[in-house]
Amino acid sequence: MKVSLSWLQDFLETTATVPEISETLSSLGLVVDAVTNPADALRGFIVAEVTAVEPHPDADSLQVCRVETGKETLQVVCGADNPRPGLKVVLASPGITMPGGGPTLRITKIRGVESFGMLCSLSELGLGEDTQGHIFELPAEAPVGKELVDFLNLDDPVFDIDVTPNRGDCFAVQGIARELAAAGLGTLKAAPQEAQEVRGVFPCPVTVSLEFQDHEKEACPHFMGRVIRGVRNGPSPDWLQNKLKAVGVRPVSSLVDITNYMALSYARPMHVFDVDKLGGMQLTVKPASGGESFLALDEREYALTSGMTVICDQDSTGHERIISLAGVMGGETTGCDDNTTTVFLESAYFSPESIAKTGQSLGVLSDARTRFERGVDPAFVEGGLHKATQLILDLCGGEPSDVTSAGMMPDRTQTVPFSVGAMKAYTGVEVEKSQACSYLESLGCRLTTSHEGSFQVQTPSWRHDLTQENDLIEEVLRLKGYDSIPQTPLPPVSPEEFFESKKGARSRQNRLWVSRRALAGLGFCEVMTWSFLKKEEAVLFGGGEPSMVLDNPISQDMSTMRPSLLPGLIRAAGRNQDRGQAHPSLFEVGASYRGPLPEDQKTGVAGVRAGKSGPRHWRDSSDPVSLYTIKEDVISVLESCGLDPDKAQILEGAASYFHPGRSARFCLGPKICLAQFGELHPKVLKELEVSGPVVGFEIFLDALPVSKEGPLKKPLELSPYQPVERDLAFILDQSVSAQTVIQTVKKTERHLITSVEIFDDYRGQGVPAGHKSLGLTFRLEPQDKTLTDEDIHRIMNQVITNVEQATGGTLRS
Amino acid sequence: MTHLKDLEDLYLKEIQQAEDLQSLEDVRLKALGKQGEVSLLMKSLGKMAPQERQEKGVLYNGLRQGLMQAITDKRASLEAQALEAKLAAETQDATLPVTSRAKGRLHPLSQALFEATSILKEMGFSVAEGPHIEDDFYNFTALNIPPLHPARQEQDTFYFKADASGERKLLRTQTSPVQIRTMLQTEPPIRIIAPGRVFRSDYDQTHTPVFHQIEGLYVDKGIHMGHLKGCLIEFCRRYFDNPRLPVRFRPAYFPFTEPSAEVDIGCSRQGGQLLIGEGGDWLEILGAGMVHHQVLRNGSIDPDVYQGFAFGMGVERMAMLKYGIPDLRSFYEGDLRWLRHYGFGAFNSMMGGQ
Repeated sequence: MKVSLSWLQDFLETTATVPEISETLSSLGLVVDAVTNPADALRGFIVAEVTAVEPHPDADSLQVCRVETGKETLQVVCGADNPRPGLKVVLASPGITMPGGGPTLRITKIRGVESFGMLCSLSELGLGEDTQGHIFELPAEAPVGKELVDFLNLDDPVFDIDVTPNRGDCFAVQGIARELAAAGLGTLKAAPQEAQEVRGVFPCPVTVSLEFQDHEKEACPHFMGRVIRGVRNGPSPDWLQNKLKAVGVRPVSSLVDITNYMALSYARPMHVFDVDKLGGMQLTVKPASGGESFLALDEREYALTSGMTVICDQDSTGHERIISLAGVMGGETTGCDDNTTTVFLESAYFSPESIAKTGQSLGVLSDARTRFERGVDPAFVEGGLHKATQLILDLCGGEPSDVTSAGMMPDRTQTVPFSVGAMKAYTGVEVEKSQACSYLESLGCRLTTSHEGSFQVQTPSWRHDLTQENDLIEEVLRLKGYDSIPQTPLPPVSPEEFFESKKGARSRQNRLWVSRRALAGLGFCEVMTWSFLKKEEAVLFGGGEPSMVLDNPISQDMSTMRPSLLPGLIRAAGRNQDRGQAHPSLFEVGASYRGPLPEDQKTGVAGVRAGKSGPRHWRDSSDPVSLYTIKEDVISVLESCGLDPDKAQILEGAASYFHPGRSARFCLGPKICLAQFGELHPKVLKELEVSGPVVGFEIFLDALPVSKEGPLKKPLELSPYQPVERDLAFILDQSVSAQTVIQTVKKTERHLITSVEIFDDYRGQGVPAGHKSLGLTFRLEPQDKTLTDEDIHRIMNQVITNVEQATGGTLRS
Repeated sequence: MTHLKDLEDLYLKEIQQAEDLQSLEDVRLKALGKQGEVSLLMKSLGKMAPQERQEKGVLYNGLRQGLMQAITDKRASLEAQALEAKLAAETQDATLPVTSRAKGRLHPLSQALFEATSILKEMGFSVAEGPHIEDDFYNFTALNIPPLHPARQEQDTFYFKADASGERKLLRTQTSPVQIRTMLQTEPPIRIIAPGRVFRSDYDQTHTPVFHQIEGLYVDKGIHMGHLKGCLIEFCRRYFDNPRLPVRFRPAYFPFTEPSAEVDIGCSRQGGQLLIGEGGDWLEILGAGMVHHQVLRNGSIDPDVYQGFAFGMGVERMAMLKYGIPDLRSFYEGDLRWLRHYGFGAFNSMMGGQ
């Protein structure tokens, strides 16, 4: 909502400065986004008079003017052909910067003739359009030497105020003025609610009926109007045009400008119909049946749905014709123009709900909708009608009919209790009862009954937002100032509250942080990617169900909820590769979505590595990233989250977006999958336009068991006996997994064999085709006696037998 | 006697002249080995008369001890030399660069979330969570934003298509639905924060369709606006690490709080540089207020018994302000150069930034 200072002063007697007004509005909750003053750009431009004009000696298109400034006579070269002796012009002197970021003027020689300034055109001043490249001609009475901004009354700051949706009454200059007056920044001028009644001089020829079912009556409870005949429409006077232009509203004609003035001044939207364009003299206000189309004043055709409130007349065949989308926008066919002589002036109350419904479903924005939707003052339907009538009579002449009316004024006032005790309990602020009363009264409230510190408050008809005591508390607090709220320390956390808070999300939350830090420690950088992606990509990663597709996405590339964190990460890796970062390691912690229900949202950690495991270096060969690189990462994160990876099994069956032969899952039993990892499928990489190899993992944090262990650790028993390590190598079929061998070895002597490591995995010369040689070393840690050579020999043999039986392999000799 | 003296001089000289451990050993064998000259002398003692043996024994033993000591000393010296030579040969170039382990980073948004939630946890709040895909009820209606409320239009909501029952799910536009979910699940005192992703259909210089908020809710008997002010001033000062940070409350409007407030912190803007904490300017960073009675009722809490406050803040903005990150959109671009510059190391970020 834009308000100019001069307009505000029509309603408010004040000596406050612009910063004071801005500051006060902000402290009242009416945030001033900006204060602009059109004069700021035009200071220093003065009124001057041309005293002589001669042709430029060297250029046909230029003239050399002598210009009187009141202090001196200057020579100015001008390119326009309208300067003539006696003409009052706008002079810009050297040193002045032209508006809109133009150049700063200097004394220059133009084709050999010195010019000590510039005569300005309207467009150069940013004040309008030029005609035929002429300089701006000021009226003859313009006083030479006067500042242009003073002569044109341009020095009028405009406040751009962010009005919150609960304050329909502040979509009016009057409402803003009322707030400032309540805050002590001046006094309200005459209450316009008591607008002088303008009596009709003939019966109103137009009749209005409200045709609503009982349950729809709320939409338009009250409609008033009158005919004014013999009007002359045309451009409105300068004072009105300037007011509107200052706040960015384009003047149209007197009649339209008056309705805009009513909306902006009083939040009283109105409409004028050209009576000569009406079909019949019987208007009906009713819900649309649906399916109609309507050509509005904005020259757009709207398809109406049932229930939207419309105003109808009759077409030549006697059928109803829609002439207005009530409270939102009038129709093109019955709008006023310069030939209009008889108008029907509408002043009605439309409910916020019905206007919101219509406005939102059609997407129409208008000043009327903005105000009705936020609630206008129902008690000013009649007053507004008279006020606008008077303005029309003043500016357009004519004579008014009697007022026609349908329905009744709805009573939107409420009686709400208020007590200073409740205020203290709710805000911590102590306020004198008398002060609270005066605050509330200054806002238009009436205090009815009262005893002790509490009273009943009747809210004003324009404040639909005041419905309960808290609303009044806020009003008093606003006027007293939020600075009066004390700064009270929070009560301490009780032991019960503390232990309650340790339940629930805590361990899950901790895992998110532990995972992040573990991965950053492993060299991964954390990214945040969108939660939605292209549908095709979602499908590729096992998602893309219809329930996961947005109805109104920003673009098709962001249309579908991600079923996995990997596609976003792979894309990010690709973008980094494109920017010359050849070996990105990225991770993300966050949600992926498998369905619309809360439990379908899974929290996880995913990471990718692309390119090589490290830079080329004298010390390490930098191998391409592999299944094993990423497996290491997964184990690190799982361990950080408190899981013993030895307790998990590695199973096949990672999702199809992984390389089928170079991927696996970490599982607890066949049902619970903790993580999957491996090389990404080349098909996927191609689809996501990334060059491989790329390895990745997903850890399903929700699936990780919550440790039930308390802080108590098991007692430590250290064995005094010497541990022994032994090596063995087996020739095995290639399909035999290392896991099978390791577990077989471990199972042979559960209590003695504490670790099994693979030190060699060899295929090639010396090993039959289709086979591999697996070298392993295992460690025996006796707990109750030193192992004899015999013991060790026996265990070795048992291990060999077990492995051979379990795998069909043989000991490598 | 002269003979013994000569012998001693001879061997001492040879010991001194030994160039390496092997030649020293050769000398030792020659003198003290089984058939060594000195060993043979020692052996000859057995054939001597007691008187002579006693006399000679002292002399021979002295000779033997002296040579042994000389050999030990020489050996130590040779060994030291050998070690020195070996070490000299083993010299490595310490300036040769080691493998530069890739530097992992936490996203600055994570860091801001961590710092903010850590402070609030210390102030007694615990973390609550809620789903991103929400019902209209939790995101709007229960928060006192009925279907036609203008506030709905100001939040460009992402919707899903209606399901078979006609219900239209949406992506939460704010973390406030967690307030309702928490109130419906637990009894006061409720002192929670809900950090998380929120979504609005808006993508330009200053908006991303995904961003993060931290919601706070404290409901109990007797919790009033003074507590809200105390809590948020404390929070802002701790977060921005400035005990004198100016903080101001202004009236505002949110459908789910009454009274409502916006919270500004002091700042200055000079030459395009924003400095938090000094100067006469204000910067809005938080929205807050007393939980609307209707919202408490929607959360099955009796407003005649309990009252409380709620607040919400944008985490991206908090991160941008604290770390001086200029562009919101860069948060979601995943550019490694940006992450390495604005990100935080795994452990140097546990509290209070760098």
